[in-house]
Formats: sequence, C-alpha cells, structure tokens
Amino acid sequence: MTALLSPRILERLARLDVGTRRARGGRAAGDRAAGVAGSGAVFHDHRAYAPGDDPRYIDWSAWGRLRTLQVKVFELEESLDVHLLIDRTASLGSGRGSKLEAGCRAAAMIAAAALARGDGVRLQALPAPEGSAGPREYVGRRATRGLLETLGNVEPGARRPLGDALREAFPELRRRGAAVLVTDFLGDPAEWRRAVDFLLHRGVEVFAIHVVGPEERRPEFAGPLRLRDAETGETVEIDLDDAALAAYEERFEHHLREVDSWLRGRGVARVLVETTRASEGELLRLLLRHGVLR
Amino acid sequence: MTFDRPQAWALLALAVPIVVLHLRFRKRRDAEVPSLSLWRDLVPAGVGRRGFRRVEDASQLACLLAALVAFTAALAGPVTGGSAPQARRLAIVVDASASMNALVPRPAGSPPDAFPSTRFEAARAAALAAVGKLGPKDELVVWEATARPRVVVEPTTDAAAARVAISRLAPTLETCGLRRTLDLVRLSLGRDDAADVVVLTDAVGAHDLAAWGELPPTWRVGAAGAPQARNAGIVAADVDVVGTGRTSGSELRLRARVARTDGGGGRRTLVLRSPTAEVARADVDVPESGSVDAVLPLDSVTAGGPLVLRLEPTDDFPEDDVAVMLLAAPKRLVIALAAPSLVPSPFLVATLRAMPDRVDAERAVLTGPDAPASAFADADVIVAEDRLPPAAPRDRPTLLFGAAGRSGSGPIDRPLVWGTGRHAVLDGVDLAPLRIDRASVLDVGPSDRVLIECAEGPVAVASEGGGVRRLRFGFRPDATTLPLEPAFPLIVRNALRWLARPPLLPPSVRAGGPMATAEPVPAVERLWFVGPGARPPQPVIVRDGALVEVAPFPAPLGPGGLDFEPPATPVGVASTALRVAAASARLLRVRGLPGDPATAVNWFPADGFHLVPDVPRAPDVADVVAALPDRGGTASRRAGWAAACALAGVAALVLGTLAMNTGRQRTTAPTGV
Repeated sequence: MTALLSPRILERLARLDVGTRRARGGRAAGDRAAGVAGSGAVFHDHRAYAPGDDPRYIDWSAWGRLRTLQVKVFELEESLDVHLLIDRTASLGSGRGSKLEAGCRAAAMIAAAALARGDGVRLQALPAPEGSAGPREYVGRRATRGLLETLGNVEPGARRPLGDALREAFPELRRRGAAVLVTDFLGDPAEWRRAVDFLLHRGVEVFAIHVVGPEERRPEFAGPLRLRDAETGETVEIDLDDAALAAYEERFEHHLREVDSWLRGRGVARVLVETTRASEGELLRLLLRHGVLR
Repeated sequence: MTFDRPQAWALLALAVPIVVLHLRFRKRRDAEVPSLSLWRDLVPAGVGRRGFRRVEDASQLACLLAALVAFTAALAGPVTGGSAPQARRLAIVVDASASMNALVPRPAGSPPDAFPSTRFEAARAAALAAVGKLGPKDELVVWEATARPRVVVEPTTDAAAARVAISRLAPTLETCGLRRTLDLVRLSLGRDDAADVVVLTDAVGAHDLAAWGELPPTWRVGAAGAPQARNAGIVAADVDVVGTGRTSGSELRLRARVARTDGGGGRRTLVLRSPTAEVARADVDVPESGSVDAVLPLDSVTAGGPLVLRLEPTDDFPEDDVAVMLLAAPKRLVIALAAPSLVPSPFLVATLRAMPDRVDAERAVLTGPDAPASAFADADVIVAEDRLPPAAPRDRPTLLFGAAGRSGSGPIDRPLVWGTGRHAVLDGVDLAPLRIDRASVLDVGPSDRVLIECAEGPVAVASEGGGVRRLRFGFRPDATTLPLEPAFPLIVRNALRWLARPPLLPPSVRAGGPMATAEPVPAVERLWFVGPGARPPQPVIVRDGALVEVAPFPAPLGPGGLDFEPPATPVGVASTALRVAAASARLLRVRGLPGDPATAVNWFPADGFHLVPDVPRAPDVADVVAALPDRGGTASRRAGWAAACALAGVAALVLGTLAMNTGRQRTTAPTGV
C-alpha cells in the first residue's frame, strides 16, 4: 500500500463513514439513507394506507393496535459522491515540511472511508495537470489503492488562482455530493472565497482541510530580506525586526480566525491541519473531532 | 611616533575580507513565502527603516575597521620620542668578597637608614637600580665575584625574579676573584659585543682589571664605598709570658700586634679596658706595610677576667678593631687553720708562711674545733688537725692531718708506708725516708684515690666529689719525720695547688689552636659559638690543654654559628674547646661562658689579611648605573601606547556589537532560500 496511509489505518477507516449532514448526489443506489422516502431498507415513517399502495408494506402490527391501516415508508438509500479537490499551487509546496502531503493524507483518509462504504470518489488536483482528462473517478473499496497512489503522486508547482482552476476542472459540476477542499487559504481571499462559493452554489457539502506550516505561524528569518511570493513570484523587500515579526504573527492569527469565521458562516466544516502534527493518528483524531469522519 | 614591529601593519590586509564578508552578510537575502498577502501591510514599516539601516550597517563596518586598526597598532608597538631599542643583554657582576663588608662613611647629618651601611649594600642597591632600567625583553644575568664565582641569576627577562635574587645576596669572607669572574662573564657573552656589563666592586682586587687588559666600552666598573679602603686590625694579642710569669705580684704585660690591610697608614690608639675601667692605652703608628707591636701594662689587673682591647678610632672594618679576651690571674689562697686548743703544728705554720705566692698569710684564720661557720666564710681552703670542725662548710677544699681511722681499728705504730702511683699531691715527693710513729688506717670511698698506704691499709687519701676536693692524712705531721724532710713543704704546696684548681682558660687563643672554656664540661650545659665564615668551628674535648676527642658535630645555627652540646657522660676535668680553621674565621664570639654570657674571644687568622696595592679610583656604583640607558622608561611608554590602542580596539568592538544588536535580534538563517 502507498505510504500515505498504512493498512492498519485503512482497516480502521473501513469502519467509519464520511460525516455528511445530508447524503446527496449519488449516481447509484447505495447503503446511505438519502433522507427521502424511497425504496431503501431503512425505515423512514408511517402513513395512512391509500389505494394503490403495495399491500406488502402494510404494517399489520399497527393495524392490531390502531385498527387503521398504516403503510411503512422506507428511506431512499443512495451512494455519496466525494470530490477530492487538492490545491497543488506553489504555496502548498513552500516552507518546511509538506503542506501538500499533509493535506493529501487527510483527504485520503476521508476518501478511504467513503470507498469502503461503496461511495464514489472524484479526485481533482487544482489546477489540473497538463494533459489531464478531468477528474478521475474511483468507486468501491478496490479502488482505494489506485486513489492513494494518485494522491501520493500529486506534486506542487503550478501557479494558478484556486477559483479559476476549480471552474476549469468542474465546468459541468451539477451532481451534488461532498467536496473535500485541501488548501492553505493563502493568496487573494477573493479567489478562495469564490472557489468555496462555487461549490456551495452547486449543492455540494464542503469540508475544508486548512493546511498550515510552522514557518507560517512563526517565520524563522529576520533582518533585511527580499520576500518572494511562491505563487506569483512577486517580491517585496523588508527589514524584518522583532516588531515586524510580531505584527506578522498577529496578522496570521487574525487570518486564521477570519478564514474559520467565513467558512463557518457558510456551513463549511474546517479542519486546521498543521504539518508538524500530521501523523495518521493525529489526523484521524482531528477528523473525528470535527465530524468529517464518524 | 615609531613602531617596534612595523611588519604588524600587514594585518591591515584583513580589512579586505572583512569588508567583503560584511557586504556579503549585510546583503538582502531572498526568502520565499507562500503568499505575500500577509506581509504586504508590513512592508511600509520596513521601508521606513531602510535609510537608518544603511547608517547602522556603515557604523558597524566602521567600528569593525577601527577595531582592526587599533589592534594592529597595539601589535606594532608604538613608541614615542625615538625608535624602540632592540633587546640587549646586561651582565651585573657583584663583588661579594670580604672587603665588601666595609662600612661606607655616612654624610654628616644623614639619617641612619637613608644611606647604605656597607659597600655591599651600596653595590646591591646599584644592581637593583640597574635592573630597573631593563627593557621588557632585555636579558639579565647576575654574577657573584668571589674566589669561587657563580651565577646567582640565570639569564632571564623576569626583572621581578632578578630583584628577589639580588636582594638575597650577601657578602662572604672570601677573597675577590674578580679577574676569574670577568673571564667567565666574557666567555658567557661570547661575541655579543653590544652586551652591557656592570662590575660593582670596591676596587679591592681591581688590580686584576689592569692586568686583564682594556675593557670594552660597554663594560662599566663601579666602585662601592670610600674611594680607598681603610683598614688596620689587631692581628695578635697575648699576655707576655716571657717576663716574670703569671705569678701573683709579678709584672704582667699585653703584647698586641697591629697590621694594615687596606689604605694608607696612620696613627691609631690601642685601648685596653676591663669591665669596670680603662686599664691601659698605647698609641701605634700603623706603617704602610707590615705590622707594629705595642705593649700594654697589666699591673692593675690583679683579679683576671675579661679584657677588651680596641683599636681606635674604628675604620671600614670594625670587626678586627677589637679583641676580647679572658685573663687568667690566680689569686692567693685564704687559709683557715683549725687546730685543737688553737695550737697548730709549728711545722705546718712555718710551711704555709713559706709560700706567700700561694697563701695570703695576712688573711689566714686560726680557729679551734668549735669555731662557728662565720670563721670560715672567706677561707678558700680549710687546713685542720685531728678532725674537721663541725661548722666548717662542706663545699670548701679541705686538708686534714691526723684524720680518724676506720671504725673498729686502732692506730698503728710505726707502719711501713709507700706511695701508690702518681698524683699531683705527691709530685716530686720522695716517701722513702718517711718514718711514722703512729697512723690511722682510713676509710676509702668509691671516688677516693689512695696516696699513701701501709700493710694495714691507706693512710693518705685524696677524694673529689661535688666539685670539692679533699685530702686526708691518717697521721699528724708532728708524729712523723716528715717536717724534717724537704718533701714536707712540697707536699703542702702540691696539696694546696691541687685543692684550689687552676684556671683552665688560656689568656688568648690563636687560630688553629684549641680554645678551652672556663668551666669543665659538666658545668656548662650549652655553649653558643657564633663566628663568621661559612665553615663553623670544630668543637673538641680537651683535658688539661690536650686534645682528647672530637665532639659530635652539631648543626650550624646561622652563618658560621653552631649550637654545641657537650657529651652526655662526664669526662672528668675535660673541657670544651674549639678548633677553627685559620683561613675561615677572623673573629669568634663565644657566648654562654659562666658569669659573662656576652664574653667574646678574638680568633685571629694565622695568615692575616691579603694586602693589595692601591689602584686608581673607579666611578661610584651609583654613577655607573645612572649612566646606563633607561630602557625601562621606553618600555613603559611603549606599553602605555600599546595598551591605549588595545583599549580603543575593544571599545570599537563593543560599539560595533551594540550597533549590530540594535539592528536585529534574530540571526537564524531563513528557510527555503
């Protein structure tokens, strides 16, 4: 199995489920209650018998107690489409430790849980690599190996605004489901906000994996510097002293709070992943705590 | 201003890498960040400090370069007021011969401690002053010039250690080996013609310098003390025994010999004093060479005792201007004659009157058997017949005729007697014609010595115990033919001579001969012999003037002194004495003699002093040292400038560090560059 996840964690993930608040968008019938009455096996409700109803669903026990004919209504069961959206822009590859790897590991854990329950997973790196034919789809538990290998091969380096990349990758995204967005939420806020809104407007339940490196919280350089943006290549000269560092650190914390507040306002579950605490166990506890897995 | 090490300025080449490294490290470094969005608002603050940062950078570089210049200057050894001299060698030769003990005349009115007291102290002070003129790298070696030259300070640049070693120098009693010392100095210096050599001597023995040849110009000879040595000393003093002898009433005279050792001759006065009064004086004209004898009368000295002979006025060597001696003058004996019924034997009385040189007949006392003790107060010897008066003191020598016999045995009629060996009492006495009508056989103790005996036992016994001698005869003179014999007055004279022990101290001593102390060994527990010279005197045990054995050699106490303890076992009449090597001592002081613990005895060397011709006077030691170039002052100026430069460098470094810390606190290299 790939290095992203160990067999042991995969066995554990097979007993978990993606913590979607509503199951939507599955293309095929699955074992996930759709929340609406249907032909599933999960009891949903009773209603009064009406002519034309299948007499097999009459609840004779209720007739014995109520002396009225009640029909059992079962919930529709459908599969879940999980969209893994991996921001592979250059900002994910800068700094000490790999933000991209930590984010991919968290996304792989969610995808592995989904595949184990028969859900479909669509993986899309943003921006899409050149020559890519669109999102790759994985269904079923057997597809886990291929998904993990693909996730392990995602490389950073592309410089493209997240919103534009998302729209290019999902021009026809109409099917509802769950989207796992792995990004660092840096860069122009309008860009990543537009990307999130793009998903929300299409009825997708979004899980945001916010990846943060340690050097972003507390930079380890000082003095006269020429800072270069990892994505845009733009440079800024700065004399970084203690006061400037303190101001930056305060600003970064404010940025984290602002991202969290904005996402929460839109009902997006956000998981803050720090690359220094991105082991399998730590990520699993983090996902369980935020309800991404259950 | 000049520099000792101008090649040190090459260190300024370090400025190039310093500037390069400064520009390298002060260059703005590249750092990649995920996004500039969070940094963008911080840029204006950094930009606002850019100009000031440039000033800081320039000040740091300036401080660094200033520190480099200052430290380089300190290493270069800046000197003001002339060029810095090269390191040189200085050899100091200090004359430590005996003549350096001579006193230095003090200027009139000068305080006692403000002037060196001896020539050696003047030379030592000059040597210390010469050390003070050394430069920091100048090499110093100090020689001690004696008959056995030695290096007292090995070649060193440590002036402090040299001062300590010079301060410990002390004069010796050896002759001056100046020429040999200077030969060794010349050999040690090799071909270093620039070396300074300072010879500090009193010019005694400087005639060697003339024979040695012309000295190099860097060799300086300084004379310590007076321009010319002045010394004349007592080289011999003894009671003239050639005259009428040491008998009471005879004329006594002291013959003294005075010799000049240094300087010219002159008129001096020999003064002889007893502890209470001046005895005699005599003027002597000390010749230019050789010696002169003087005779001083001793008629007024009847009781003996210590005498001090002094040569006045004193000169540069006061220790040989005095001779202290003990004069032995036997007194006439006071006899207490105890006879029954106050009627002594007329033969005995006549005999005592016949020896006025030994017996003071006018002070003799005639007592009876019951006389009180006061009757014997002044008596030196008690002479009794039949029995000793009970009140007679037991610590007086006693001569008893007609002593009682041993218990249980009666008198013996007409015994045949004979002498038993040699004894001082029977010296010269022939007992063959002696006839005794009646005699008693005497008891003999363990320490008694039988003089005359018969077939029945001893009839004459000599005993000695507790420091008191006694003679007992078992017969009265009247009951023998002894008064009719010429041996009778001889026996009485011998008996009195033996009973009153003779004085053991000779009137004077000479080097090489034994000097006996006044008391026998058992009476003196400890003697202190303090004399000059490195070799202490050798204590010996003598008996009646003859060497018996060499005493165990004790550890010396101080220079030339020793603590002498007599043997544990008594040696009878033996006494302690000293034998001093003639060449090693000039004066010996003996302390611990009974009655006068400060008694001193002159000990004259047999070969006298070495005589030297007068030589031209060299400059004073102080003037010679003053002529030395003062390299210590130059060194201090150099050290002062170097220290100032070093301090300036440290200050520049501190300022640079402060400026650097003001600009930034963190120095961790950026990640991801």
